[in-house]
Amino acid sequence: MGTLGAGESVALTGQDPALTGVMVAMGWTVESAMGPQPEPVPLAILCGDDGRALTPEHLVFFNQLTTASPGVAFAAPDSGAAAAGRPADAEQVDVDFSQVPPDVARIAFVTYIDPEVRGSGSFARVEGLHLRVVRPDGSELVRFDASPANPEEAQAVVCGELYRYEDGWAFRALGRTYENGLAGVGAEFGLDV
Amino acid sequence: MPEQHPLDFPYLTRRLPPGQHDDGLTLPRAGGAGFASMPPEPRLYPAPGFGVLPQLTERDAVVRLNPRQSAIGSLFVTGSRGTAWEDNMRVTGAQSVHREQIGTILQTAGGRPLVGYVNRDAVVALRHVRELRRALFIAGSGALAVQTYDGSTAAVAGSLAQGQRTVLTLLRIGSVLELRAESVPGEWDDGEIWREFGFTMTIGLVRRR
Repeated sequence: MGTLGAGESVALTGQDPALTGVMVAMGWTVESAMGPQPEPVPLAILCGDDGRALTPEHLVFFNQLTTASPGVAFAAPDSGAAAAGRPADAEQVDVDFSQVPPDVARIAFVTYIDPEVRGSGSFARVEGLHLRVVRPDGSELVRFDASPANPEEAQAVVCGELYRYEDGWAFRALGRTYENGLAGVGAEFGLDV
Repeated sequence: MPEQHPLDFPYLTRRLPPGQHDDGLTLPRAGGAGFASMPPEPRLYPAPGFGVLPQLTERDAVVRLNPRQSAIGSLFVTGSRGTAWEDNMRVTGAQSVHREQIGTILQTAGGRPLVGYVNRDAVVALRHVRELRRALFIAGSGALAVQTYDGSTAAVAGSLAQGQRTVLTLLRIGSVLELRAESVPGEWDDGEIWREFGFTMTIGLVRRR
């Protein structure tokens, strides 16, 4: 299915009706420097029809691996990827389509820079931000290069979303940036962060 | 049902050897692998959420942060004269508000200390909360105040009883952090307080990850 541009979408189960789930992987590299580094953190938000989180707790990230709604789980990255010649992603979220409850209409995938008080809170030193949608067997379905156009100001990026389409699931690349970081994401999606 | 150790309370006993997985609650026990592999959070007794109680007291001494509060941005503790920390590998260190240090500085992959002072505030780098086992914050002459990224706060008096000094303990239990206000004799120095809470400072090197 190849590489998407911002705003483009692809019907995942429309093209592969046997697809039972996907792994959504996000990755980047941080330009090394002395002192505090920017620390990107991936987040998946389970949303209803209105595009807002079902509850403030409906998100998964490194310290909340699942939610009350099954089917979406934060997973350990593929530590052997680089050695095996596969793309090295920083973090992964597994989505089992059959387990996702009907009230989950879309799942948004965000990367924010951790708002630590000691700074480096933007994407200015983060390169190659990307999102890959991968089959359960590891083969890549689609990729989106999500590096923000304004990295000095951007503190969070909604990279893309899985959404229900016809009787299955589709993926849309977004690349929407927030200069107010996780606070802006929280306000838009109704999170308690 | 797997056997449960009668002293399965984090403040009473610590028996995991260095290097072994520690969820902050589970003790090793023969035949208890299934029990130990369960996440610890459902086994916790109820405690108020952080931000619900405006003030910790002798009677309401414990609050628990949710997984988001425990992992986003910085945890600020204002008003402490010193802090001490211990990571998952039992590496320990301490720092005073005047930057006197002992033990081992825990340097995170992001280039920040896991626990340390920023100006006069003790700060925990929560992106790496999974590396932390516990920390202490020793009250100075006034009250302690704690704040998380979502704006939630809690305060605790510097002394909860005549002649006492407040020590705020921070314990990670799986994905959540628990704050508890404890009291020690007011005249105790930091070394006596560390010993009271079972801290032995490790060799003073910087531990990088």
